[in-house]
Amino acid sequence: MSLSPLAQRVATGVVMLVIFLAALFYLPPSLWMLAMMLVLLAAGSEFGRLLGSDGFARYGVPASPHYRWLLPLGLIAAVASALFFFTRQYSEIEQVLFMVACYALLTLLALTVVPWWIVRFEQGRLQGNRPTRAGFAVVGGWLLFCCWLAIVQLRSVSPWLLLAVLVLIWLADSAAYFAGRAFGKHKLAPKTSPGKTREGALGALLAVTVYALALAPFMLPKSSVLLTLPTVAQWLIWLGLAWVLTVLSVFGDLFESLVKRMADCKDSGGLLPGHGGVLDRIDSLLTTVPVAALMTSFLV
Amino acid sequence: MLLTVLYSFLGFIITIGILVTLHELGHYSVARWCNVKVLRFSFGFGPVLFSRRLGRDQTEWALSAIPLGGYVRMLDEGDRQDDEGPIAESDLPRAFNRQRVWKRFAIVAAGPLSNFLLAVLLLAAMFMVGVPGLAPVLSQPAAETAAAEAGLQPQDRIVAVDDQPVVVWQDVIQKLLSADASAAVTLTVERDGFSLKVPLKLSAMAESSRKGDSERSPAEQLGLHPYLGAPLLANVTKDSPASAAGLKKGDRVQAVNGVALDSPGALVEQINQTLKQTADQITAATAELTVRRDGMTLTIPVTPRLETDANGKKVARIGVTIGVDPEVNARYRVTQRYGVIESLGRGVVRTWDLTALSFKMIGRMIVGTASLKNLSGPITIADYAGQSIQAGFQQFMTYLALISIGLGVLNFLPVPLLDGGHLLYYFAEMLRGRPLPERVMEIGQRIGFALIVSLIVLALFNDFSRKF
Repeated sequence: MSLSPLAQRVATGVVMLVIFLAALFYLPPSLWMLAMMLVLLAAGSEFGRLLGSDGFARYGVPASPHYRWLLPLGLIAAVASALFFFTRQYSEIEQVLFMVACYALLTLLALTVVPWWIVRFEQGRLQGNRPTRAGFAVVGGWLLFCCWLAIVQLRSVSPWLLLAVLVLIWLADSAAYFAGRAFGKHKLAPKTSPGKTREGALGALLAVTVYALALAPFMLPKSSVLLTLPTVAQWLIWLGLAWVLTVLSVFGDLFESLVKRMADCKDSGGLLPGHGGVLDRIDSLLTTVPVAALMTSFLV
Repeated sequence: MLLTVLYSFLGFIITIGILVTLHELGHYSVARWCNVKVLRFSFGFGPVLFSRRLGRDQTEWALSAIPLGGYVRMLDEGDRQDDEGPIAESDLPRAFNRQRVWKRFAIVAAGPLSNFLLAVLLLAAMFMVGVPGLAPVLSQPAAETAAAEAGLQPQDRIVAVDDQPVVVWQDVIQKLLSADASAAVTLTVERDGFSLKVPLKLSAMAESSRKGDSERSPAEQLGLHPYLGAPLLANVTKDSPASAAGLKKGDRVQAVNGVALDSPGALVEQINQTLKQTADQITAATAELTVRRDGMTLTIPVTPRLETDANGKKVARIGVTIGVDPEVNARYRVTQRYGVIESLGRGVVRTWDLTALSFKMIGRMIVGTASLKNLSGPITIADYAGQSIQAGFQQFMTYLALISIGLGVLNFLPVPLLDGGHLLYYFAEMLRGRPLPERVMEIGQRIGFALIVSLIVLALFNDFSRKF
């Protein structure tokens, strides 16, 4: 029996969601770490395959199969160093400082270099030369590593917190899709990702605003820092943070589209029937989850 | 004096010689792997004293006049001297500046990395030869600590933690660290020939970890201190309260005001206990020292002097130096040897810890919580090199590893002119897709130069103020 593409997509989606939720709430911390590492390694090897593909030849950069194993290898090394770091029993303050430093540098990169790449690409001025590809690899690898760190950290604070962040991303994604289909006229980044519209992005912001307002009564009281502020400031900061996460999720999505576009591949891989590769599923998580973890470190 | 200077000089030359040569060899070997043409490998800076051309590339191996470092000179279009003329067409692909960015990154990073590698190997060798350690014999636990609560007594020897045998203090600390801090461990203790099991609560450890108290080891946080015997006076300062009271070198201070002492720290603590805060000033009261000299027990009253320590805190001092007690040494020193694999593992861990410590210190100096006085320059390095070379082979190896890590850390700092600065430039090049503009690099170099010069001046200043 063969399923239609849509049915396949829905079926895979439901199965993934059930497995993910079960893992989120029932796996012991060590297995959760391991499981997430495997997911990110799969995404990492897909990313490496994209970077090494001969699509870059159009920009004068030869295919380089090394990226396919270099990227996962780098990820394993980074994860191993992080695990080693945590076995050295530094005080909690030092551990938090380490993570905050990782996230903060990454945020700086994600908010400056990634949009810059996208804008240059839209202008047709991004050279796909070797250094840029190495830059993609470094930023992509760092994003994947920090994403793993953040997923592990957020879950250790509370699985519900991680779920709240993930739902925000999925909601922004879906809202952008539907709002774009209903009202979309102006393209957001025509060369990078022709399907995205400015109207869709606004729809995403609107949906996230409603979502953040709905969550606020449950989550605001958990933040010892926000509680010290006047009520108006609390709500404004809360919404501001949700909007930052929404914008970052769009950047993450566009960054992967950019790499795929330059590599001349439609899907990052074929691991998930109807959904493309692992990387296609988690692209907007990469920029968002570490920043959410950074926010949590400051607010709790 | 002359001999000390000679040793310091010798130690310094050996230290810098080994470390810099290795650092440069790191650059050199990766450059060779990447097929970059190396023009000169120089030990030392400045005018070349002696050189010889070797190999297919006729690399010039040189000895230069100033033995404070060394360098590898690679073929580079941006670095030509007047008498050299243009680079031959066939050699152009082998020029450093023509290499892909990750190759240049690897060549530059290989220098500091080889310093870390050397540290791992040196420390591993040290663990294989055997590290002297202190047997886990307890001194009197401080009141209101977990150790006191558990009923541990002075001279108790810890033989196992949770039934895993321990030989030296370091083992005990490690076992405590890896235990679940919210629970308790069972210590197996030898007391008067009997073996007993004592449960020890670890909650104090968890608490101080939350507070960020990393100054005291977990053992100290629980009230476990090594037994070091009554403090033995190695030296009595002239014109000090101690010399005025008649204390002499070789005296064992067994008690202060009737409180028995079993470690050097206890003497310092008890002398500080004499401080009395009155309405507007702090004074030190006279203390009765119970002293053992030539088989006799004497009681000597001493009035400590008030001094201000490095943190600006008032402390009481009597003007003595406490030395290593040969009797205690013979009884409680043990040598712990490890196998090859475990030594390598421990070498990695130790290198990691020392590196982390260096970065932590640098961070604290930048934030301002650690004094810049902690910075050392070549003279302190030479001083310690001389001391450690006299102290023995093992001490010198440890010292070498320490300086090697320092050199690696320093070179990884993202300051232009240092290796880390180049790496920063290459990183920016990866992100931009082309090298940084000449102008930006030049400004960076100037800032880097100013930073390095002020760092050197500060380090030398510290060196001299320490010496004189």
